[in-house]
Amino acid sequence: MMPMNGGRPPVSPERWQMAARMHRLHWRLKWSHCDTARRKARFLLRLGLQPVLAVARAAVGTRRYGREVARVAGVPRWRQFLQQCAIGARFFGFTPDTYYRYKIHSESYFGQLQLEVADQLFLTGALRNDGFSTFGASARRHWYPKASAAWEFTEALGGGTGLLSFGKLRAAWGQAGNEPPVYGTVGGLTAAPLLDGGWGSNFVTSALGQGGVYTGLSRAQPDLKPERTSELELGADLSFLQDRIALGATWYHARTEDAILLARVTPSTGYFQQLRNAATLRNRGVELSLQMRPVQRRGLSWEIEGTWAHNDNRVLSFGDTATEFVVLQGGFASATGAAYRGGRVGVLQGNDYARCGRGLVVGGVDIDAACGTGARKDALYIAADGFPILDPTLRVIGDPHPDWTASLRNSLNLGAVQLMALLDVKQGGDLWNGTRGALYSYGTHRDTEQRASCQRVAGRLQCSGNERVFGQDLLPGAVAGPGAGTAVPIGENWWRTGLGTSFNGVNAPFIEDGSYVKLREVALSYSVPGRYAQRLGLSGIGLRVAGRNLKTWTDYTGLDPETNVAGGTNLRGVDYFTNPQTRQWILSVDLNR
Amino acid sequence: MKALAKTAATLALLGALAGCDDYLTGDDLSGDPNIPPAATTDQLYHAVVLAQFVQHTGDLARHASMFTQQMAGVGNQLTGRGQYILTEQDLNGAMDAIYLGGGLYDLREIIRRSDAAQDRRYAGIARVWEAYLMGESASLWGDLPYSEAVGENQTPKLDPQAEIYAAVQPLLDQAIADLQSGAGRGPGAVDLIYGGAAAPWAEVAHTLKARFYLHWVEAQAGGAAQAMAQTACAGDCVAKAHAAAQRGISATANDFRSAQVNSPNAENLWYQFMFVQRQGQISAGRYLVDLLKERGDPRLTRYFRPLASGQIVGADPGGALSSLLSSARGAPDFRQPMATYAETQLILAETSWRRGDAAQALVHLNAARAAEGLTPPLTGLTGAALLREIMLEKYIAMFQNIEAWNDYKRTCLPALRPARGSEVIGRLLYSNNERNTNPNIPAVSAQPARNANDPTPCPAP
Repeated sequence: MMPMNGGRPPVSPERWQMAARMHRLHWRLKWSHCDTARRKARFLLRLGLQPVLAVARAAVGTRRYGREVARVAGVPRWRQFLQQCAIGARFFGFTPDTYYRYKIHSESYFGQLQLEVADQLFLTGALRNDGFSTFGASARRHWYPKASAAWEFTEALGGGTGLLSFGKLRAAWGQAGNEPPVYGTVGGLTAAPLLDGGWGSNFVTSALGQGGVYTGLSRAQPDLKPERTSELELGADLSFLQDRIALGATWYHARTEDAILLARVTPSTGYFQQLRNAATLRNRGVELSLQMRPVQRRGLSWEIEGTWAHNDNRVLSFGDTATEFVVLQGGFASATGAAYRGGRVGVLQGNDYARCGRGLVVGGVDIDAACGTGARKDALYIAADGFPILDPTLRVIGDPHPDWTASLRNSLNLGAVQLMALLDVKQGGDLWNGTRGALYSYGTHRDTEQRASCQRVAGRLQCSGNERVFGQDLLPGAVAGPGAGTAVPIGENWWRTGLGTSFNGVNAPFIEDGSYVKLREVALSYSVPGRYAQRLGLSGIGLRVAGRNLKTWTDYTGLDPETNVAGGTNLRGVDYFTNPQTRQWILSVDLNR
Repeated sequence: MKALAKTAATLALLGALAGCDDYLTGDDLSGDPNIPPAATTDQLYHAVVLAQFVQHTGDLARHASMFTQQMAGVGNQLTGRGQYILTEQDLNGAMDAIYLGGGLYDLREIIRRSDAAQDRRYAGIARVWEAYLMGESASLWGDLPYSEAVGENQTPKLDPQAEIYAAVQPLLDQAIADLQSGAGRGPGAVDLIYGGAAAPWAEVAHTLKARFYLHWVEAQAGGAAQAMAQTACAGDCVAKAHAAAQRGISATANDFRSAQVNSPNAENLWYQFMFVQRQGQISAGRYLVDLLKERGDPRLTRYFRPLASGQIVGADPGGALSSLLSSARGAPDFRQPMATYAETQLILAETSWRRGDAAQALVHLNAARAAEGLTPPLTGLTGAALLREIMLEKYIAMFQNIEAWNDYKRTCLPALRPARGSEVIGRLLYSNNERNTNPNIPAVSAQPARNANDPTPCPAP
């Protein structure tokens, strides 16, 4: 989202004089662009009788980062443990000493013109040039324009009326760029550990007393250029009834070209991935806000504030047509995150049971034929033994993006006391309940409490009791296939060694709706009257008691629909033994002087 | 006016400076200071060898041992794997590693450098690694990118399995010629297995030739796959295997084993998996344990350790945790056998049997038994009983080796009862990473259930 410039209050004549003086001062300074420096100059220009404020800025920066992880003698064990946790090493594992550093140089120039017409129309235009050392040689510097206009139309109507006290329409358009991760233009060798299937076992390349080096997984991308987002934003701010009611609405449409993604490369070429300007993405949505003050008197006021937002993102294309999806970081082994062509960024992919109407052939069996012609599309296929089977094809199984989000805030001010309550609402958005999938395997989830009794007979698990029928009381829904409607014993044969657990490959049944309403905060605050505060030599004392994350209303069966195992990454909606949000009670005392 | 002139001057200066690129390029800016700028051939070789240890003794070997019920998957994700419940993501790393991360891409670089430096010993050793990698991989996945792989083509086509084998044999011949030429220094002490000696490497190459010829014996028997066997072996697979094996590994001291030490992240991968990273997920398989007990085989205690009850117990796929590896076999510095003298003798036993020479087969079988410490030599076996004895001995001797799965697919011995369904799994699915970016890779539904060299499924026992 770009900042909006339209709507800034007009610059007073006094400030313009000061700006002019500043311009003279800055102009005298010597310009040396290879320093780490910022230079700013403001100019006062005239366009006829119309004053125009111009700002020019240059910023030249160096960013350096270094991180050293080394085993140092004499560090107490408890500190080693914390350090290893901080860098994600297993407590009893081994971390080779590492020293990682990078340096980035950036150079930006910015010029902006601001114009105010007739006290009601605010126009801004700006142009920016950015250069980064992290781009390819052919694409180091780029221009980014932007413009905005805001019209306070109630001024044109001669000031606000009783009903419509303030109205402003705004429009903005601009382009912004994004820099890539460092050293994307450079490929080469690596000495990273050689991993054994992701289970944790591995060899360091310095094993057995020799130094080993091999070709890294990332192919160099010498032509890396910035991703460019063009965004159009239209909005309106309206106030009614002498500012008792304020309504804000914004619609935006952003199109990102050349989005930088770590795209997958065909492994049989010898590389796994390459940073590419690979995708075209689109984000569009609406944001609404409403403020109301139903009661506003001396000593008593009540304010209601609500917001509502909806965002839709979509991958319009990847650069080449062969790629169907790009895997994103932050997923879990059986529910990875991906961006699919034509779909959204950050969906969950995994496996489902074999279902009818999908053209599947599994283990030599034509599933659609076995389902029969009367079968509903996506009906669960039941094999002759009465159980569903795995579909080994990777597919999108869930979408963590919400349909809309909203919040509602109520504040009641009674003299020096204020009571506030905040509700957060999220509607839509899937979560993968990997915790439930694992607990099924361990037999510690309530759903597995009723179970068949199983024994090993001649090498096979024989179970009896707890008979269920797929499609009725287990995985309810349409079923088809040779074993449809058969009652089968459900116990360890399904929950641990069968397809009832997420460990054995099927994750679609563990996708749940993550909509929630949360009582995010309730707070009571009190401003101690001034005379008491002054007795203590203070100008004011404030007391506040607040509770956060007090209650959640949701259909999600896990601990908290607002968790994510990967933390803040491109992907959300993965719950795997993650802790829920904490409920907090906060008591604070503010002492002001 | 003055302000306007100054604005113009500033903008002009900005324009001039924008053309100056010096600030945005430089040593630590255009080059990554964290990666080595160049590698010696020895450094590349060392990393590649470690990667090959992972490839041949890591995840693939664990899965093959579960499929053949030498071991059992008893916890978390492995309960399903031992029952052939696999998605296209599950072993994708193993297929990707054929080419990258110390695979074919770097092997070719070593060969290129060695050929340029005319170091034939180095080139020969690297060629043996390449042949071993591609032959094993073709036995697991069938058709694979090879002739167009790690080259200019961004979406290499699949080479038919028989053609990969047909390319691997002359590669091994070239390696043998390089090794026997006596030219070149080779990796020397960087070679952790043989210290750079050429003769044992040549023996390994011959054993691998025999092994890869043997992979097509089932297809050669008849039917549609016969033509492919002809391509893969360029002649009679049995005769060629027999001839190659006679020049194979000549003594247990020359066994082709990984190198490991008891140092963090240099230990044996079975040790790392079973005792450090993923305890409780894999343990002894019931079929192997029962077989060893029934035969009174001393390897029962060599392979496995007893439970707290004092008994050595094996589990069924998805069963309860059973015996772990013995302290010898499960030691952090246990060197994992990849190709052995015993295997070579058992290949000769099988090829002799297939050529109708039961007496010779028995000689080789007894040589293999002696190498494994089994006494007394067997006598009086012929016909189907002899083949069964040879294959059971091989099943036990090739413990933890991918080759046990290939032996089962070829001979249906030992007569395993499939863990699920009516057949033991026949091949691995292509990596979804490959399928996602390479349109030449078919969807899961279009991939065959078995490879071309394994046309006939095994009958139910």
